Amino acid sequence: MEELAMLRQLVGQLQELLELYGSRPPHPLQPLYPLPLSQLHSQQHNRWCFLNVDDGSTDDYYSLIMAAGKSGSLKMLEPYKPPPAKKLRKERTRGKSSRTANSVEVMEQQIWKDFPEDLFEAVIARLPIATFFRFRSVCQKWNDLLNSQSFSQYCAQVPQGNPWFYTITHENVNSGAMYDPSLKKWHHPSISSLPNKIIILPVASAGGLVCFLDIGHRNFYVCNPLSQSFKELPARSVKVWSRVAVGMTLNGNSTIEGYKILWVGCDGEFEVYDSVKNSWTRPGNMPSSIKLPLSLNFRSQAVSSDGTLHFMRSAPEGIVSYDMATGVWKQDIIPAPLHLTDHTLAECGGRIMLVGLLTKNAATCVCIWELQKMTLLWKEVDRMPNIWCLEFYGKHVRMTCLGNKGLLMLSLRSKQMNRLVTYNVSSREWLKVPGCVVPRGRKRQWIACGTAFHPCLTAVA
Amino acid sequence: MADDGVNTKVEAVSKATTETIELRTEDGGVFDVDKPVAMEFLILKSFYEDEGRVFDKTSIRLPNVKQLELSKVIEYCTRALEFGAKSAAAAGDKDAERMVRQEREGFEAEFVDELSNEMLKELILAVNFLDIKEMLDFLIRSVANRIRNRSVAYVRQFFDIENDFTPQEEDQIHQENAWAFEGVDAD
Repeated sequence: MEELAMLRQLVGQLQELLELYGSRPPHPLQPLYPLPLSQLHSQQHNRWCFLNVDDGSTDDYYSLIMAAGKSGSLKMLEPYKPPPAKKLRKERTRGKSSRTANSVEVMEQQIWKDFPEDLFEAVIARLPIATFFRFRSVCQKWNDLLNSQSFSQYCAQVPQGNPWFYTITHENVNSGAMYDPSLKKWHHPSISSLPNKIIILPVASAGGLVCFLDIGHRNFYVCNPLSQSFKELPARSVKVWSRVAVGMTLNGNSTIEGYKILWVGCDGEFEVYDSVKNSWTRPGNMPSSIKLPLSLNFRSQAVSSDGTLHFMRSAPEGIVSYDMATGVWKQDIIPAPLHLTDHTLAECGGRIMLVGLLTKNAATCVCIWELQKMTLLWKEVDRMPNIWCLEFYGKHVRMTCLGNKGLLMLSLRSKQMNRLVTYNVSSREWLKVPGCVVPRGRKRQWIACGTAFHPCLTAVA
Repeated sequence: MADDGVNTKVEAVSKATTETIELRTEDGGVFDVDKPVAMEFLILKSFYEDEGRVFDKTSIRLPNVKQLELSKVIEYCTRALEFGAKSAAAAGDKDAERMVRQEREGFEAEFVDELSNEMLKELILAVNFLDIKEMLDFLIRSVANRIRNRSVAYVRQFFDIENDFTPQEEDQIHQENAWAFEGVDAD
C-alpha cells in the first residue's frame, strides 16, 4: 500500500519535472573522485527538493535548525559546489522504455537511477569474490573497477573473512587451484598470470599477495592470484642458490603501503626486500648467540605475527624470530614433542601453535600444540577426531600444512589415501574439504604444496 | 560500536526519562526520538558535539528524509542499541553471545525481507545522508545479497545498466573469468 503511494508520488514528481523542463531529466552528475558521502548525497537530492517547493527559497534546504531565535546554516550542509565532472556513462537510448509505457514498469527501472556511484562500488565490494568476477561482464565500468582507487578503498573496508588457499596440485604444476573455505568451492582459473615456462612454488603470503620462488631458488615473484597483478622481484645479491626459508610482512594495514620479504639460509645469511624501494638490502648479521648452521624446517612456512617473522629450526630445536621493524634476531630453544613428524608452525591471535603428526605404535594422529610462553614448552591443545585418524592406522602418512594463520588446510597422503581437512584454530573446528577436481575431470588431485592468502581484489604486486 | 559507546548507551537507554529530540521530515512527519538513538545519526551528533551546541529540545528539520524512511531508521537503530547492550551484558559467556547474535540476525533478516528494492534504495540514501555507519553497512550488504546469486543479465536489468560491450568483448571477458562461472546455474 505504502509502496503504491510512494510510486504515485514519484510519478507525480516526474510529471512535474517534464512540465517544468519539457524534456527528460538530465543524467545525474558523476564526480570522478571519491567524495565524503554526506556531501555527495545532499548534492544529488537538492534537485528533488527544489522541485517540491513553491517559493523556491534555497536557504531552507541548507539549514537544519528550525528553533526559535536560531538561524543560519550548518557547516556540513553548506551549498555544495560540485567539482567539474565528466559524464561517465554513455547516453542511453530510451526508445524501448518510452514514457507512454506502463508507468509502474518505468518506475521499476528508475529505482537505481539516482544512486550515487560510490555506493554502487560499496555494494560491489561486498559481493563474494567469484560473484565479482562473474559480474565483470555486466558493463565496462564494472569490468574496470579493479583499477579504481575508490573501489580499492571500499574493498579495504570490508572485514576480512576466511582466507583462501592457493594450491599447486600434482597435475597442474604450472597453474594453481584455489579453495574458498567459506563456500567450500574449488576454483581453477583458466588464465594464470604466472610465467608458465618455469616452475614456481608459493612460499609466503601477506595482504592478498602471494610470494613465489622458482624451484631452483633463484628468483622471487609476487602475484595477486585473483587479479593479473604480477611482479618479478629484482635479483638477490647472493650467488649461491641454496635452499632458503621465506617470510613476508605488510608495512601497514594493506598492500597500498608496501610489503617486505625476507629470505634466510642455513648459513645465517639473510636479506630483506622492500617493495617501496624495490630493492634488497642486508640489514646486518645474525647475532653470534644464534647457533649456526640453522637447520631450518623448510616445510614449515614462516609465521608472521605483529611484524615479527618466526622460523622453525632444529639442532637445537626451537624458533628463531626476526623483528622487521628493529631488524633484531632472537632465538628460543623449545624441545619438540616426541614422535613428531611433518610439523609446521602456525599462529592465531598472537598464540604460536605447532601442527604435526604424532605416530605411536602404528597409530597416527594429527595434533595441535600451543606454545606456553612462560615455560617455552609445547602443550597439546587439540587432536583430529579419532574416527578420522583410524584411517591412517598402520599406514605411512605424510602431511603438508597450507596456511599458518587462523585457518589451516592439511593435506594427508599415503599410498592409497588422499585426504584434505581444514582446521580452525580459534573455533577448534575440523572440517573435510571436498576433493580438488579439475573442470570436466574426475580424478581427485593431490596437493603438492600451497599457501593461504586473503582474497583481496585490489592488492597490487 | 566501540565498547565505551555501548556502555554509555546502556546507561542512557535504561534511564526512565530519556531526553528526546524532535525530528521533522520533508514530507511533514514529526518524530520524537530518544537522544541515544538520535546520536547514532552522525550528522546530528557532530552538529551538537563539534559545534559545541547545548542540547536543548529544539526541532530539527531533515530536508532529505521522508517519514517512511525515518520511521524505519528509528526502528533499526533502536533495536541495534538494544542488541549492543545485550551483547555487552553477555560478554564472556559464549552461549549467551551466540544467542544475542542469532536474535540480531533474525531481526535483521526480517527487517530487510520486508523492504522492496525501491524502499531499500531510499533507505540507503537516507541513512547515507544521516551518516549512520552501521546501518549503512547493513543495507549495503543487503543489496549485495539480493544480487549475489543472480545472472549477469538479471543484474543489468535490476540496476538498469546498459551492456556496453561488443559481443566479442563480452565473450572475451566471460572467457577470462570463466572459472568464476563454474558450477553456477543461470539465474
